[in-house]
Amino acid sequence: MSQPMTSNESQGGAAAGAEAGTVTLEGVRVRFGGEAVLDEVDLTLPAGVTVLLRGPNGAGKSTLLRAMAGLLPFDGDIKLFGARPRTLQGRAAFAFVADVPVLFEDLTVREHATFMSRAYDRPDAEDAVLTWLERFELGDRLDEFPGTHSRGMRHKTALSLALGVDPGLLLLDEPFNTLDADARKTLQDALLARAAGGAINLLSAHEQSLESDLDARVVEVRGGHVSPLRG
Amino acid sequence: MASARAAAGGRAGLGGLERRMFRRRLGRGYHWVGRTFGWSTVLYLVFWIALFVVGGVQSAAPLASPVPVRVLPIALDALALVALASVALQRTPPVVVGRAHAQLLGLAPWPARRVLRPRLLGYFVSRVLVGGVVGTAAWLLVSILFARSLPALVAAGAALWALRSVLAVLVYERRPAALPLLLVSSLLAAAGVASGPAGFRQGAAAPALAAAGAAVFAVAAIASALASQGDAYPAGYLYDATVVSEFRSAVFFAVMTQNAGALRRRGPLARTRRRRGRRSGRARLRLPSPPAEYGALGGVAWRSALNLLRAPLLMKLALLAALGYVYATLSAGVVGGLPLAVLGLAAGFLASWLLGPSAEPMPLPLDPFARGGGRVMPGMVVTAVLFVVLSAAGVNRGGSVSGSEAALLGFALLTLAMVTLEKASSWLHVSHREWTTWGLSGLLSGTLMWILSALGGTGAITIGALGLATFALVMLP
Repeated sequence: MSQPMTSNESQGGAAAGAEAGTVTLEGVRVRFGGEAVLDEVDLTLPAGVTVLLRGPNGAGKSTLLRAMAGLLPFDGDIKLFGARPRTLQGRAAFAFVADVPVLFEDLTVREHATFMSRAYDRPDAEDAVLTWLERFELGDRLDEFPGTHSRGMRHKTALSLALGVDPGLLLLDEPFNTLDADARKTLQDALLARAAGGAINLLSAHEQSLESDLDARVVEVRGGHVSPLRG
Repeated sequence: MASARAAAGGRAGLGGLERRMFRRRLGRGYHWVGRTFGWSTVLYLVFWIALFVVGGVQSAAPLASPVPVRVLPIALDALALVALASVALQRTPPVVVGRAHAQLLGLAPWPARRVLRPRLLGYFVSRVLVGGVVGTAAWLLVSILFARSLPALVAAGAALWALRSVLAVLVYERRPAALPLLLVSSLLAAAGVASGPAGFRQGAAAPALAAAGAAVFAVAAIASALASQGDAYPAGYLYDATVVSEFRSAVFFAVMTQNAGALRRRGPLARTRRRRGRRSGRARLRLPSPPAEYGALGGVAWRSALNLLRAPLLMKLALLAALGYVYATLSAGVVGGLPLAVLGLAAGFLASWLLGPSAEPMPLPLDPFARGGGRVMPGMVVTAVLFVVLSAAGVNRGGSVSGSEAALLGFALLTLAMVTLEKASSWLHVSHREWTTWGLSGLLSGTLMWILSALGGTGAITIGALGLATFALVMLP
């Protein structure tokens, strides 16, 4: 049974998210131009798992992630550890990284770390983000603007921001697509550690090997419907 | 206490970063304008524009026989009502945040009111300024047309636009407060109509009172709109804001590239515009594909027909109405040189619709006849069917030209306009939806129709126009 998060819990990161319960979707439906792209999606994600969303292009994987992040209007009910995505508590419970990473063009990478710690009101997050940037080998590019970086580097920055905030739920849209081999390993280790700590990782990906690499469970998305959690 | 101080510090820190971003963006824009146009050029232009505006205002003199003053309050109130009622059509958020703000700040546990409030205030202030400019223009026009000086119209315009901006926010957020506000503002406008003539005859009292009342009302409404901003964003706001901000970026990019002389690069804007109202694949209208033996001509015609079929419903209805108007004009016997030249000009614009809303270039190595014929064929079919129906239905405005003659002449005129537009678009490598292309085509069609009308009657004009269109289609690249 999920419980609403208190503000302390909302700032407590992965462990707090795990204590508060699970992520549930009930009868979620997303429409574009009158057509249901997601139809009656029911899903429950228990604490401490990595879940892979699989399915062909256009099946609705990104739409599902965006609806869970509150970026798309939807019918039905989504509860992130008891809170709805659009509320303050709901937004404190997750971080989202889009398939095309979005960053401020007028802030340096280091200032992004400061921005995230302020936006999440988490003074410790700034150092955490900087640590992740070091792990992703961007430590010597902190004072540069993201506009001068490649797409892969921007993706690493976006992932560092999300990992540094350490939310109860991490939503990643095709996170491995642009990463080099070292960065893939860093991200895999990060996701394994988060799941071991009780947090939930939900990501869309096409690579078959990820299921074993991440010790992940799988949800098939096809024609707007999702399969039950397996694995 | 310590946590409160930390939170306050966090908020201040975020505000500082926002200001830093704003300063950098401003600095970038300043340097860009300096490099691209040169600030001395900009200042030179501003100086002369200001001089022309001031000179124009000073030289404006009232009409020798002014419009009756009883018309004034009705016209002003009608304008106010239209300005207020048009808010109901608004579907996009009046204030948007960029994609980065939507995803990095919009998804963070940061209250929506702290993100939106400064932007809303900026929006209200800019609207008040716009309203002031509109009011000033109205003051000037009233002094010319009605020989009355009503400086209170400046304040009335500002108050009206403030009210309009509040309504835009409330309507977008589907707040229940929107309905009573709309009703009250409509009642105020109606009261203006009722009490207007007497007040206007006495001088500036009525609009001054109306402006003061509307200003108080607008300030109260703005305060209420700001106070009601909550922690969460309105439903669908982040999605809408992302789409609108991307669209604005595309428009900005297109305007800049167009100013740089790169008309051809408007493709991205056209694509974004279509994407804005696009339906997902399965919901779009379909046509069965043509058999392979129909070749390139059939393929291009199919693509053009699909393009025309998928045009917005309103555009299709407007197109049919405009075609009907062309037929009615011709059937009324308006077939002289000048009317036909004007119709030719208009046909250039209609042709840009008949070739379909898509502005995609067609860079395939096609035979010019297949490309041109295929692109104009669906439009020709639509025109022919409509004109035959109108002619068969006996729609005739009693002119000297019979229905069938009018139908044939109209068909020839539009075919000529479509062919010249298609050729102009292909030669210039510019979309047929650009005003430069359809303007050129209209000018050409109009001139040709004028020349043809000097050579003979409707029969000769029809044969001449169809002959020219066929020649262009078959012989020209």
